[in-house]
Amino acid sequence: MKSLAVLILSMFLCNTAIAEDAGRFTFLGEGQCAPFEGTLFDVTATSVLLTIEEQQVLACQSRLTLELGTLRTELQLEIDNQRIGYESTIQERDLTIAAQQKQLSSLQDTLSKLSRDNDWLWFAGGVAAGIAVSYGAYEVFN
Amino acid sequence: MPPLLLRLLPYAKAYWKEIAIVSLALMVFGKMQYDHRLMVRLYEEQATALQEQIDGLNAIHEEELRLKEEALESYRTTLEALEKNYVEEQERNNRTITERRRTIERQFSQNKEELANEIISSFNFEYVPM
Repeated sequence: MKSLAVLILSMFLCNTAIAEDAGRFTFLGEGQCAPFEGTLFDVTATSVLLTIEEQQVLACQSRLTLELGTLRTELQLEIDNQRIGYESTIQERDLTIAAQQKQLSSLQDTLSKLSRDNDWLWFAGGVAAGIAVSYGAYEVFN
Repeated sequence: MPPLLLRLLPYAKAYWKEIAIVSLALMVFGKMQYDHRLMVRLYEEQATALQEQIDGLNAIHEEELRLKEEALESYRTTLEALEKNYVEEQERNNRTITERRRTIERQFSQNKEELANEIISSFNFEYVPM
C-alpha cells in the first residue's frame, strides 16, 4: 500500500510529462525534481489509474446484467419447455383415455352380442335341446 | 296341411335324423358366421380407434414441437438482444470512461487542487505539494 501511495503521489512531482494514449511513467530519485524517490506517472496514466475502479464497476454491472439476463432467459426457456410438455402430456392423457373408453365400450357392445362364455350352461342347454328334439321327433314320427 | 308338406312328410319321416343333424349344423354354422362378423367389425372398430389415437398423438406431438421451436426462437431472440445491449453498454461505458479521463486531464492542467482532493478521496494518500 505504501508503494502504491508513493507511485500515485509521485505523479505530482513534475508536470513535464506529455500526455499520450498509452500513458507513461518513470522512476525518480530523491532530489530529482522530487522531495522523495518514487514513480512519476503522466496525466494519461494518472487518469487511467483514477478510473480503473469506475471502469471495473461499469464492466461488472454490464457483465452482471448480461449474465442475469442470460440465466433468466435460459430458465424461462426451461419453464416454457416444461409447460409445453406438461400441456402435451395432459392432452395425450385425455386423448388416450377417450380412445380407451371408446374401445372399451366397443368391446363391451360386441361382447354382449357374442355367445356367453359359459360351458356348463351350453352343455346343459345342448343336452336339453337334444332330448327335446329326440323326444319330439319320436312322438311325431311314431 | 299344404300338399307340398304332405309330399315331403314321408321323406322327413324317413330321414329325420339326417335332417336334424343338417339343421343343427346349419344353426352352428350360422352362429359361427355371426360371431365371425362381430369379431371382424370389432377389429375394424378397434383399428379405426387406434388409428384415430395415433393421429391425435401425432398432432399433439407436432404441436408440442412447434411450440418448443417457438420458445427456442424466442430464447435466441432474447439472447441476441441481451448481447446487443451488452455491446452497446460496453461502448457507453468506454465513452463514459474516456470522458472521465479527459476530465481528469483537464483537472490536471486547470485545477490541480481538485484533482489532488480526488486522489486523496480515492486512495487516502497524503498530498505533498512542491
